[in-house]
Amino acid sequence: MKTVKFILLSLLVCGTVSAKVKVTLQSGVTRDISSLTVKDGRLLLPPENTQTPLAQVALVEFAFDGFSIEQCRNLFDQGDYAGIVRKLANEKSSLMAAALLQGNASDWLRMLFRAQFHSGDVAAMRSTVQALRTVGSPLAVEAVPYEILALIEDNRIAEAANAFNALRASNDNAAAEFIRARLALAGANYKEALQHLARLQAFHYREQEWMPNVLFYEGLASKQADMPEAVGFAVRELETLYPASRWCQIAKDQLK
Amino acid sequence: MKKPGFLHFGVFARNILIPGCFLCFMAVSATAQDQDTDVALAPVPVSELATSVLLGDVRGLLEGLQSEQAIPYLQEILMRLEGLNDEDTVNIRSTCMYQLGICYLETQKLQEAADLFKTFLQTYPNDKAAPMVRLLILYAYAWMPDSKPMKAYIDQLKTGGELNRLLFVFNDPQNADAYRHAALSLVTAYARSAELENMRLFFPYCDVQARSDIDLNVALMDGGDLLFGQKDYIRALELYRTVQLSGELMAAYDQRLVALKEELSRPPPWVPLKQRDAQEASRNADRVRYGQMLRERDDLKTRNYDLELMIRMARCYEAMERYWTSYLIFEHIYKDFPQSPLAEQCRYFAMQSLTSLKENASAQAAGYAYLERYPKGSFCDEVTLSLMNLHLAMNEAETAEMLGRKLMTQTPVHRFADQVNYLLGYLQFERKNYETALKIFSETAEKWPDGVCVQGAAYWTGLCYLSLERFDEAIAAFEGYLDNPAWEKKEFVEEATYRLGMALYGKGDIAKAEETLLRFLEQFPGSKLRPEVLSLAGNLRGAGGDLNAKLDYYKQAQASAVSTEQKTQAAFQTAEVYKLQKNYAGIVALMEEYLAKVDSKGDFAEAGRWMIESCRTPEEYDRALNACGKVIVKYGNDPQLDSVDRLLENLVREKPGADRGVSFAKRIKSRLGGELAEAVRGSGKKTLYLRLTALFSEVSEGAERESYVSNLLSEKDLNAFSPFTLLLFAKESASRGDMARVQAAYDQFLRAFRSSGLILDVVNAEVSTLLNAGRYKEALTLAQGSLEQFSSYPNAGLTQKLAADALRLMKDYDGAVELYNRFLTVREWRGPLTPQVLYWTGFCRYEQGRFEEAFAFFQRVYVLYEGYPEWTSKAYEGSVNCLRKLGRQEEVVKTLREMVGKAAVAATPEGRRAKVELDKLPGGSR
Repeated sequence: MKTVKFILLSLLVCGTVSAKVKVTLQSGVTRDISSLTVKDGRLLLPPENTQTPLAQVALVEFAFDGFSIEQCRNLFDQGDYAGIVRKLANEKSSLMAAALLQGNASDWLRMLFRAQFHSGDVAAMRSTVQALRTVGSPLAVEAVPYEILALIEDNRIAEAANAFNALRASNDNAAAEFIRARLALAGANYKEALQHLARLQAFHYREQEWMPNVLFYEGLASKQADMPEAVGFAVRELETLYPASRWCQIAKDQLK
Repeated sequence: MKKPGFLHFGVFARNILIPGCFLCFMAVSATAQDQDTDVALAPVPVSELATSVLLGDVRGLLEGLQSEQAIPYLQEILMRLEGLNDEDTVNIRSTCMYQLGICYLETQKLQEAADLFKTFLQTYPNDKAAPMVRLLILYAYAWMPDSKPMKAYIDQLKTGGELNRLLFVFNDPQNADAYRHAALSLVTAYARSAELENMRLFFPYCDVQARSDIDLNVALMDGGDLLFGQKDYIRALELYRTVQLSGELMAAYDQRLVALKEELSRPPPWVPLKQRDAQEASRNADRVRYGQMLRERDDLKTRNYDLELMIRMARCYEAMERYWTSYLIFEHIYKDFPQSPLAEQCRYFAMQSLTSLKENASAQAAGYAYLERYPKGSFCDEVTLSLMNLHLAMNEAETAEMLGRKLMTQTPVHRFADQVNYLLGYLQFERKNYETALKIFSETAEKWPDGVCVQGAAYWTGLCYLSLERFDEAIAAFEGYLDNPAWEKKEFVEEATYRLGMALYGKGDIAKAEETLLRFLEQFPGSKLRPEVLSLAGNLRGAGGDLNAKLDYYKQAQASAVSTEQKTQAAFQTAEVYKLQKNYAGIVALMEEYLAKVDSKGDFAEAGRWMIESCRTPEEYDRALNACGKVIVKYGNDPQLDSVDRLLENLVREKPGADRGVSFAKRIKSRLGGELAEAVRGSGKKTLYLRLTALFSEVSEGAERESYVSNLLSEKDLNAFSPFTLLLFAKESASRGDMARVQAAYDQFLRAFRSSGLILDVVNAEVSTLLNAGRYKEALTLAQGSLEQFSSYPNAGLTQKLAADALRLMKDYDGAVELYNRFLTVREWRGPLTPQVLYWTGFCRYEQGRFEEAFAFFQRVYVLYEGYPEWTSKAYEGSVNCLRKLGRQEEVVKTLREMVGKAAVAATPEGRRAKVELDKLPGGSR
C-alpha cells in the first residue's frame, strides 16, 4: 500500500493532476464528480446532468489525487510556481465555477493566480483575476496588488502608482511594501527602493512569497547604488535559499 | 554535550515500538519486578543471575530510567540468547537489543548506539522498529562531533532508497507522537550543529507544537551563531528566521498548558493495581512538567528573546554590507523598546550602519542622540570618534577639530586618543597647516608607538614634508617607512612608494622618480593607485615635451582606472593632451565614452563642457547632446545629484557663437523633447521632469519660456526639486513678488541642499524678497548669518551688498557704508555689482548731508563704469543734486549737459529729466 502511495506521489510531481470534487448538498447527500459545471445559477451533476440550484449546495471540496493544499503551499514556498500552474491548469474553469461556493475552491484559486503572477505569466494572472471579478469573488480584491505589480512589469508606472494610491486596503503589508519598492525603482530612486526592500526582509521575512523577488531587486538596486558586496550576498542568498526560483536564474544572468 | 530533545524522544521510542514484544518482555519478567522506580539490586554479578531474574531486574531499571545500570543486564541477556531461534526468544532478544541501544544513547555512548542499531537492522531487517531504529542511528550520528559518519549514513540511505521510506513513516498516524518527537529531536540536533541540509529534510515533519519547542528554538539560535562564527551569514539567517518569536511560543505554550491542565484535572483512568504507582508517577511527572512550562512561559515574557534574535539577524545583514536592513532592525529595537538594556547598543549599531551607508547627516544625528541619551554610555568613545570622522566627511572641519580637542582633554582618557590625535593631525594637513600637522603626526607616533595609527602617522609625516616641498626629508620619511623592519605588514606600502616617486620628481631627480614609479607598476600590478601612478609617469614624460608618450601613459591610466575619480582624472588629462594636439574629434569621442561608462559620481558637467567646447560640426553637437541627454535621463531623477544640475547649467550657459546659439537651443529641445514628454507621463520621474522643464525654460524665450516657467511654478511637491530647479523656482517666484513661494523654496533648500554651491543664490533671492516686502531686519539677519557660513562662495558679494542695502533702508547709513566698503575691498566681488555699491554709498552720504563725499562716490560710478548706464545715469543725477547742494551751479549745468550728451544715459529716466531741466535753464540744453 505504501509503495502504491509512493508511486502515486511521484507521479503527482510530474504533470497535471486530475481533480475529484466532493459536492455536499444541504440535504446531506454527497456526490463525487470529476469536474464542476455551473449553468444559469444551477449546478450540473453528471452523469445525468441533474440541475441543482446553487442554494442547495452546502459544500464543494476539491481534492487533487494526493496533491494537497499543504503540498501546494510547500511548492509555492520553494518558488516552484510553474509546477503549481501546470498542476492546476486544467481545473481552472471547474474551480472558477465553485468560486462563490462554500469549500476550498478559493484556497486553490488564490494559489493559482499568485503562482501565475510569480511564474511571470501576468496575462494568465490577469485572466484568472478578471474571471474572479466577473463572478464577484472577493478574491479579486486580494489580487489587486498583483495587478498593480503587473502594471509595473508592463512599465505602466503612472497607472500602477494611481492604482496603488487608490488602494483602500491596509498598506502595512508585504505586498504594499514590495509595490513601493518597485515604484521607487521605476523612478530610479534606489535608496528609497532599498529601504522598502530592507523593511520587507527585516519585518516580513516569514512571507516567503516575496523573498525571491525582494532579493533580486535588492541586488539590482544595490548594483545601481554601487554596493557590490550587497549585490553579491543578495544573489548568493537567492542561490542558497531559492535555487528553484526563476529569480535565481534571472539574478545570475543580470547581476553576476 | 547536552541533548535536550532526547528525553522525550527516548521515552516515546521506548514505549511505542514493538508493543507486543514489550508486553511479552514484561510478562516474562513479572516475577522479578520491583515496585520502586529506583531499583535496588542484590550485589550479585549479573553473570551469576538467572535469565528470568535478569529480565525482571532490567524491566525495573528501564522503567526507572536507570539506563547506565541497565546496560550490563541487557548485554548479558543478549549474549545468553544469541543463537536461539524460537519466536519468543527472538522477540525478547530484539527488544533487549533495541533497549540497549536506547540506553547507550541516554548515556551518550553514541558510537556504541549507532553500531548496535546497525546490527539490529542487519539482524532484524523486517522488525516493526526498523524505521525508528534508522532514525535513532541518525540521531546518534547527529550528536557526534564528527559529521562524516552521519553524512555517509545518509548517503547510504539515499542510495539504497531507504531515505524516502524513512521519511514516509512520518505520515504514519499510528505512532504519530513518537515520530513527531523523532523529527523534533533530529531537527534540534541538526540545528544545533548547523547541519542545514539534514535539518531541512526533517523540518517539514515538525508540526506547530514541535516548532515551538524551547530546546529546538535554542538550538536554532545556537546553530545560527555557529554559522555566523563561520561567516556563513546566509545560512545563519535561515536558522534565525526559523526561530519562533515569543508571541508564537507563548501561544503554543498556552495551548499546551490548557491541554495539560485539563488532563490533570480529570480523574485518572482505571488501571490494574500493579500499575497504579507507575500511573501516579506519570501524573506527577506531568505536574512537574506543567510547573516547568509555566516558568518557561514567564521567562519568555521577561527575557529579550525576540530582541536578541533580531540583533543576531541585523548583525548578519551588517556583515554582508546590507546596511539598510541592519539599520532598520537596530532602529526598530531602540525606538520601540527604549527601556530594553539592548537599546543602547542598538543605537550605536544603527549609527554605524548609517555611517556605512554614507548617510552622514543621519549618522551624525544618531550619534549625538546617543550621547544625549547615554552621556556615560558604554559606547561613548566609539561614538565620539565616529562623530569626528563624520564631521570630517561632511566638510565640517572646525566642528571636528573642536570635538577632537575636547576629547583629548576628557577624563578618563579617551580610549581611542591616538586615533583622535591622528585625525587632528589630518585636519591640520587638510587646512594646509603642514608644520602643525607634522608635529601632531610625530607626537602620535611617539606617544602611542603600539597604537593602530603609528604606521599612518609615519606615512603622513612624509606627506607633510612633501607638501612643504621639503623633498629630501620627504624622501627620507618615505624610504624610512618602506625600509622599517618593525612593520611586517605595511599598510601604506603602495601609497608611500607612489609618494616617494612624487618627492623624487619634486626634487628634480627625474630618473629616480621614473624608476620608482616603474617599480611601483611592476610590484603592484593590481593596485588601486595604478592610474594615479600612470598619470604621474605621463606627467614626467610630458615634462620633456613628449606628448605621445604622455598620451600613452594617460591611456593606460584610463584603461586601469577603477574608481570614478580615477576615470574622471584620466579622461580629463587625456582631453588636455588632445586639446594641445587640436584633436577635437578625439575629445568628443573620449567624453562620449566617458559619459556612457561613468556612474552617478561622474563629473557630467565637466565632460559636457569639454564635449560642447570641442564640437566643430552639427553632427558632433548632436552626439554631444545625445551623450548628455542619456546621462540626464539616467541620473536626472535624483534631486541630490549635483553634477546633473551643473551639466544643465553648462548646457544653459553654452553659447557656441552668436550665430550658433539659437540652433544649439533648438537642438537641445529637439534632442530632449521626447524625454520631457516621457517624464511628464511617468509619475515616478518628477525630478527629471522639473530638471528638463527648467532646462527648456532657460533655452527658450518669450511666451514659450513663460509656459515652461509656469509649469515649474505649478509644482507643489518641493521635495522633487533639485538645487538648480529650486533656485529657478525661487527666482521666478521672487520676480513675481510671490513671497510665500520664495520662503518655501528657501526652507526646502536649507532642508535638502545645505551643502549645495547654489545655496547663496537662494539666500540672495530670499533676502531680496524680504527687502521688497519691507522686512529689513529679517533680511539683514539672514544675509549676515549666511555670510558667516558661506563667505568664500563667489556669489557672497551680492549677499554683502544686500546686507548693506538692508541697513541703508533702515536709514543706518554709517552701518551701510561700512558694509559697502567691505564689499569694495574684496577683489573677487568686483564686477557688475561695483557701480551699484558705489552709487549706494554716495546715496548714503548724500542722505547724511555729506555732499562732497557723496559727489566723489557718484563721480566714480560714471567715470569708471560707463558700461552700466542704469547706474551711471543715477550717479549723474546724484552728482547734480550734490553740486546743487554745494552751490556749484556751473558744474550742475555742465553735468546735466554731459548726461544728455551721452546717448545711453540720455535714454534713461534720469537722462530725460536732465533734458527737461536743461531746457528750463536760460540757454537751454545747448
